[in-house]
Amino acid sequence: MKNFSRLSNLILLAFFFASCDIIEPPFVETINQIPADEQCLEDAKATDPFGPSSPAITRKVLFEEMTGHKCGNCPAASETAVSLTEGKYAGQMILVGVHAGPLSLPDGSGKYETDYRTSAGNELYSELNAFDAVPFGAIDRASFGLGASTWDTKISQRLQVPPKVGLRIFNCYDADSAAVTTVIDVKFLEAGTNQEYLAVYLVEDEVIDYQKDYRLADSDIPDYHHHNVLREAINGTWGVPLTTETVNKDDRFTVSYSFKLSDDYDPAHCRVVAFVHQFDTYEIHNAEIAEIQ
Amino acid sequence: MLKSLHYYLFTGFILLFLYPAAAQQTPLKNISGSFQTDVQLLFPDSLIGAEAVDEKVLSNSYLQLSYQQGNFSAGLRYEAYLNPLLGFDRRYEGQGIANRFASYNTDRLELTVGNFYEQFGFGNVFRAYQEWSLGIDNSVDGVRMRFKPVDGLAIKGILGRQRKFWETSESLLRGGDLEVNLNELLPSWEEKTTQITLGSSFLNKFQADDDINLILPENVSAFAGRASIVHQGFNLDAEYAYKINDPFQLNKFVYNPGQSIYLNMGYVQKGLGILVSARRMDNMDFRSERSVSLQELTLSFLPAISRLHTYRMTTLYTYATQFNGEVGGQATLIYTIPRKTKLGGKYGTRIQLNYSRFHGLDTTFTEAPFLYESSFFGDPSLIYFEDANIEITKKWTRELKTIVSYIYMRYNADVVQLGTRSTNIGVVTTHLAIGEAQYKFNRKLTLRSELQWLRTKQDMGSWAMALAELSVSPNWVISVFDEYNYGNPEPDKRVHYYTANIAYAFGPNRMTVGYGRQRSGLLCIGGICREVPASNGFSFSLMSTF
Repeated sequence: MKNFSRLSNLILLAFFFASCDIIEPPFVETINQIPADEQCLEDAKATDPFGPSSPAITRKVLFEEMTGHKCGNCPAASETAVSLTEGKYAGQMILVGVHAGPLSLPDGSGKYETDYRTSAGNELYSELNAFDAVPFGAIDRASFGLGASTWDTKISQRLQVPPKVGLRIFNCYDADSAAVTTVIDVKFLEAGTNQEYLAVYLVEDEVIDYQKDYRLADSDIPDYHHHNVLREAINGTWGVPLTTETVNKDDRFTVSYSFKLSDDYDPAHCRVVAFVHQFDTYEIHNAEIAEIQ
Repeated sequence: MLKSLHYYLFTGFILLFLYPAAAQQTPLKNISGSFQTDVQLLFPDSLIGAEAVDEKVLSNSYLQLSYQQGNFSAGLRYEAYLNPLLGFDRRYEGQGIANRFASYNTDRLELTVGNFYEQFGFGNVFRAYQEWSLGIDNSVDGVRMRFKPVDGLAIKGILGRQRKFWETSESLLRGGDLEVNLNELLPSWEEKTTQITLGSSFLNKFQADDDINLILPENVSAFAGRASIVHQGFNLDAEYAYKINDPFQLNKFVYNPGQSIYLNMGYVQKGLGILVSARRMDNMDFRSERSVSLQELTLSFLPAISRLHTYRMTTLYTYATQFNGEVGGQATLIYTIPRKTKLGGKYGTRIQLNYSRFHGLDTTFTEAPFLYESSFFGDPSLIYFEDANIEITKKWTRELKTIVSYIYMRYNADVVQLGTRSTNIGVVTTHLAIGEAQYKFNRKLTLRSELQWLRTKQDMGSWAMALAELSVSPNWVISVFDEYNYGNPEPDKRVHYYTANIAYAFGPNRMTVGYGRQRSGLLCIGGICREVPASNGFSFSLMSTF
């Protein structure tokens, strides 16, 4: 009997060790990674993004609008977000539409069949949206608002905080191969910490699909325009550390990614969003956005 | 397709029940079951933040049927969420057969196909269970074997997928458990006064890696070893659990292995009981899928081990286990001052002292945001919860019994309620004084009353509560209570949360009708919690067993 017991334990242990996938670093795989476009890297290097003749560094707030295609209260909030992005805060606010949470689930109704959720979006929703409800706005991940009523004020307050970094995005797109190379330059305008991360997202604007809107008698809109939908987190949800050392004022970094654009996305509406944030507080120092072509 | 399958299954099952009964003209003596329906009629109430509910009426209902014939048993549960009660996940919406099983059971062997509930050891790596009022049903749909080759040796094996509302989860579960009772297994141990049981368990889940950013483990396994020792009045339970890297939504995709150490010691003798529990947990939340929220698809069962208070005011700040990491424990001393002594009085006096404390891990990222290090004893300054309380129960006469309690609590609302370390509400310090009296007028009529006072300067400020409950045996229980948030820093939120309930029991049936305002907060049962939104309205509940 002792042998039987030993044998059973051995079988359990064998199962345990045989059926484990232990992953070693690095854990991040850059999406659809392809060789870099060397010409693009050279072209990016040719102009100094922070030189005397370059455009002045602008403070841009990253506004992550958590939403869902079956959220009937979201279109009204989204109108507020788009109106602020294109109007009052044009050039100072970057909108990213994060589809996540229960109201983003696709269904078999024949209407809401597209799954706009992404693993990055799910993670952001889980981490930032303590209310587990939409519409929800994260303003530079420093302040948050459930419903649209407080967004304007919070964005205005956030814009008063001077930018800690300057960013430039230099994109190259080859239509034949659908290859995108994005080169991001970062300059610290003041000293930072050893937790400074660069995150790079791909968003697609003008995605036309179903959206629920409770303001309408027939609440299912078949041709709703979804703005700046988060498609991919190119270097992971939280990005990658710029350095493991403490960052000094005027430190500069250049990071590039090359990837193949999915056939499902329209390159004419795709944009790269880049931002630098302090990982331990999530607070975003500054952000930038650029068309891929 | 699934619905029609369920329809035929349901019809077949009913025929299975009815055919032998009809043929033999005998009562359906092999069938047992239960029925429950909970209905809410809700109104908007802007004062307490209760939002309008489009459907006005919400209901959760189920019918459980079980059939037993010799070694064979089968059962099913029909559930209807029309639509789900407030606070329940909307994905439950709908109705159908949510659970069905067939089982063959002998002394040594039990085989089950279909839905089953199971627990390995203390549940640190696996517990499939149902808790109706929390909206939890994480049964496994698959195959289970329980085998006892000899006395003192028990083996379990499972294969299947976990229930996910009206579907099953994406992942596949495989696991086993082995338990050895030395006193039953070894003839030389039969007469020993020390009882020792050892066990080990293992669970693996497979979920495909469909993430384009991260390299994720597709096969994740967890393992646990445990021991239970009982010697006269003393008992010790211990379990160590380990889980390999399992990055998923709720652990923020960290690749650290998970670990949990749980210890529970008790000593009991006449008039005295001592209970000490401790746990260190680091990233031990184990779920069937990576994209989950709240209490969805839990595999590991990790209830809070702090004292489970039952008084209503204590539920304002109930501790819930912090799955990603906590260190803490609790100690309880129960002493009964003997009867017919000066302090004990005619019937004796029971005193219960309890203290519990939990704090966070001291984590430093070594490869942020994926790997961190943590010290074994955590960071005591990162307080999550602290509770020191005393309860004195005294029976004065045959008719009158009283319970008085004082509870001091510190509760990190940001961590426990919002799941964040950033400061919003902060650590709330409360003092609670509670008095309960129960008076039996006669064999049929009992009146129970409670007065509760919670004092705090933080969060929603101070509260007071009064309750009266009249029981007229054996049929009626009538209760009214009011919670008054008189200390709310915002004067227009100094609101009364009043509730009245009437319950009527007849045979194995119980019907309850109520009206009231319910404040938002955590509803906890057995240390597992779910969020309950504020509501205002009528409720109706019917429970029946047959």
